[in-house]
Amino acid sequence: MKKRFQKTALLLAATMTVSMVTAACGSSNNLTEAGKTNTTGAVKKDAADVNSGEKIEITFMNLWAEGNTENIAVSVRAAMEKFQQENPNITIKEESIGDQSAYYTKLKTLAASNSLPDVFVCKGSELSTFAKNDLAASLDDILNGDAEWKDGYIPSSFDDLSTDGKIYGVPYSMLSTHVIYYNKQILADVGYDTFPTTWDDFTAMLGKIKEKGITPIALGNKEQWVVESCILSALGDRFTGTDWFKGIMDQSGPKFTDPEFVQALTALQKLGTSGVFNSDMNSINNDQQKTLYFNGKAAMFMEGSWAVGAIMAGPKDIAANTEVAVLPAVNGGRGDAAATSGGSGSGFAVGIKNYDAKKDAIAAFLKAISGPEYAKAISELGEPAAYVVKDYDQSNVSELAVKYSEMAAGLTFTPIYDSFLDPAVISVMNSGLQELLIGAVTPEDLAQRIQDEFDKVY
Amino acid sequence: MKNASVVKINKKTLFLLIAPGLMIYAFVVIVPLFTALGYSLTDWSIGPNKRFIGLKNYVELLKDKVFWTSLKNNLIIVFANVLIQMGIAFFLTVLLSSRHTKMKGFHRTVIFLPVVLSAVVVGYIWQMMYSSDYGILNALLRAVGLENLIMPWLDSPKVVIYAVTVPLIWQYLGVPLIIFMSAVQGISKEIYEVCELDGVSGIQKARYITFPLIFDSIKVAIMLSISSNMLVFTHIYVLTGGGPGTSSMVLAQYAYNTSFVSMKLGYGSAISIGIFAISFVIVILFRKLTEVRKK
Amino acid sequence: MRNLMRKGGRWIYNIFLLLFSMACISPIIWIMYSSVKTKEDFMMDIISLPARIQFKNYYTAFIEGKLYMNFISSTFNTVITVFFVLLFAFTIGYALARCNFKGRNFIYSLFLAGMLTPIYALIVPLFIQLKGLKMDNKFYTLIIPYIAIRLPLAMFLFESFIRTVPLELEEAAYMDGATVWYTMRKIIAPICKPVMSTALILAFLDTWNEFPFALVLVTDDKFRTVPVGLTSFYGQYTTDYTVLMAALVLSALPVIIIYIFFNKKIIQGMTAGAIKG
Repeated sequence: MKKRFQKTALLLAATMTVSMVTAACGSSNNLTEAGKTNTTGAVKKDAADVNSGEKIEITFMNLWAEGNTENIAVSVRAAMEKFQQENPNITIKEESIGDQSAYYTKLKTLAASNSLPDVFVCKGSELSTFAKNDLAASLDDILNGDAEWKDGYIPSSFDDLSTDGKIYGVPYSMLSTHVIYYNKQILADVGYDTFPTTWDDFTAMLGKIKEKGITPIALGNKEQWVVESCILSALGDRFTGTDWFKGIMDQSGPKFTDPEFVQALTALQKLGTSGVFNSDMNSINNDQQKTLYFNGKAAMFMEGSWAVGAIMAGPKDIAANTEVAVLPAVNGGRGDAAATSGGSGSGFAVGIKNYDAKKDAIAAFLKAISGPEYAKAISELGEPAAYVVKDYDQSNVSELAVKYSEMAAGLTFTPIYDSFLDPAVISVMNSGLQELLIGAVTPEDLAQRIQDEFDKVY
Repeated sequence: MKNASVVKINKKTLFLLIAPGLMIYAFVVIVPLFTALGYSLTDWSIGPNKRFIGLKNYVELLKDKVFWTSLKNNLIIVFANVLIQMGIAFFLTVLLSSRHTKMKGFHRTVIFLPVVLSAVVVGYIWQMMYSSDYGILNALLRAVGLENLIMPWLDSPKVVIYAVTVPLIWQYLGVPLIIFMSAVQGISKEIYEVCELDGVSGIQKARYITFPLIFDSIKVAIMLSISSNMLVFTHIYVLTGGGPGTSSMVLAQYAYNTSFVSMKLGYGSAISIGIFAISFVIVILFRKLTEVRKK
Repeated sequence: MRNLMRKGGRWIYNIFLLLFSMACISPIIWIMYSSVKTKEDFMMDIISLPARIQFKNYYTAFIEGKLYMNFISSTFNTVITVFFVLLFAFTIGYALARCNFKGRNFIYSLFLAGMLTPIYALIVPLFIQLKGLKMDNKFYTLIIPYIAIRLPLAMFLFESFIRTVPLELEEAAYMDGATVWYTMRKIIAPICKPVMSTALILAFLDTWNEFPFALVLVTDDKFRTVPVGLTSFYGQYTTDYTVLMAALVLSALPVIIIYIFFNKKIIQGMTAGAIKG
């Protein structure tokens, strides 16, 4: 009996030892591999050239499902095809995961095992964490090495993708996360021919719409990022001004518990508790909030510039009646009223493991999928590019896209909170905002909660 | 105890019977579990640096309000499932074994069907059912004049956890059902026939014959229910994402959020180990309780 | 009088069952008829019956959406996994049920531990292990974890079932000089048919629908399983729900078929002449 047990235990121990040793070897192999490629990379660097004939494979991970027909996805793939044709020695191995949360789960698992792909799509805040942990490569040298390429980008487009003064990602579009899409017919019915420019006027209008039995603002905050990204980032700035947020990120004094930010939270709570949103605001998602708008049951909704495409694909009569606006000025606010939260949001980042060995190929690839030709292609489809495009064919651009870009041209872009703040802080903020909207937490308590998490992380 | 080691199996055979499966299992589950335990003793974020901090994560866990809220939610789900789902499954088993029930095959098949649905589909369906405007639940309540019972099912922090438990009970009813049904097949028909001659009613048959004779299977079904409900994730994630706020947060999602959203893998591992430890204790308690009962 | 009450009771039970079954099957019927709607029809009214029926969504999902590739991968993984799960669960279950050796309770607890660990806790360590052994992103990669995570439940089912089987048959066989293998194969296995079917159905179902490991451990399209493949039907901004429904119906079919087939065996199993009770 004893021997049997001993044998089993021994076997178990053996398996476990083997597994642990291989795991340890695995990770140390990663380190030595990186070391090796560094030396060979360094030696070959001068001689190597993108078209040297040496076969290079670049792994590319993105969240655009294969058959995706969205403008950016289509344009990136077209640019990728062209790049491979022009550079036959370079193959792009693409992995696409259409679901955003599944995409980031996999990406972060890869990051945790130091196996990030060569090129991958990444949001600002996640990229910042990768950068701080030496998992993503700083792109400064390849950008500075091709000044013409780098200078073609809208300068602020690198903001979301930079950490500690270094650039870690290349943007592929400029977006704003806060745009108010409203039905001008409904507004006209309650006496408003133009969108209100003061907060008091705005809330008065919302009240009048409510009296008519229409939901003033459709909100689908189930996934928790909508309120923070599409409303608070802009509303917060109205009260606090942009310097406050910069100060938060620099840790030079401002705190979430400052009165201005608390005022922003209070204003947001007032909207929530006064019935301006639909009652199931926390249990429907941002797709479903648009459905409310499309059914004529809501007068407006707030989402990013990406919603233009969705509206154009919706009911024709609603699309024809849709106008765009941003939140009005708030009483005594320090922020600019002609501003909205926006930036590049996400970009193409580079995993550090193979960066040195494949630098030139990666640089060329990045230029192809985010540079001048690509930008021209998406501009012609109505998507705002992060690269400055001078002439492009405007004939295919939808009316609403034109309205948006005209409005955007006159706006300053202020930081999107979840492009900069650590994901842990964002997590606390987002879930707390759900409670704020239904009056389950006070603005002061929420501000304190966010500040506490911030202090823990930074 | 039951059948003691009557079968004399030699060491080599025993080894061959157990080892292959056990080795794969150790490689996939046991080793990573210990690795996760190791991670939980560090402050690992996501990069290459793991600094040993001893039991600090666990001390923090004890103070973590979200963890305890999630645990409470999981316990509610577990109790609801064990009591209600097992209860209904047992009731259905009795019904479906009775001579008088029609269309047994149809019922057996249909009641199991929801089990094959993906959690995403179930989430979408129930979200529609709970919808305040066009949901079936509210429509039914209005139809029978019980409008005052209407509330924002998925938006009210007090009600949401119960609202979220219902789809779980509904979807997985078929699992204990097939476990019970296959166990019932092992009961000889003669026992029932004898009882019927004696004039024993259906309820008494169920209580005094069926229940005790399939008790072992009931135990397995309950253990399965405890384990899968302590670890429930996708359904809640799809229906409410743990919201509003954290009122419907469950342990597995909290661990996931901590590791994969906030990228705090050290603390996230501690949460996972915490889930494991608590679940283990619950199951052991359960087994002790049911052993005593049998004696 | 009692008879009347009994008869009434039976009617109520039958009606209750019928309502219950309706509640279970209606969402599935909804998905099925939604999958044959056009996208526009669905957006207009989610609940109504389709005005015109078109099967194009199935073509779009299966061929264009490359779901057929995922099917091949999933089928391969699931069939092999289920085979080994049943094999190991049977042998381990038998050993634990029949033998009281020193490590028995320890091994039992080990398997219990696996059922109580959140999957996401194991993903990073397991990925590192597999990558270290260069075993990730291969055609056999997923089978290893799949066997491991389905083993506990199947094993418990076998173990608890075997413990209720009386010993006479085995004792007789051993006295006649039969080996353990012979006894297991010829005597115990046939008796275990019902629990084998149950374990098979559950293992098949859980493996077919498994998501986290399939997401992380393989990269190539050709190894991608059905649940991960379904994510490609979610657009970043808008989802084509009717095509998604078609994909969901397709992905649910294999499990439904397996269930219908093996469910009968659970019932038939016992009439095949074994002694129980």
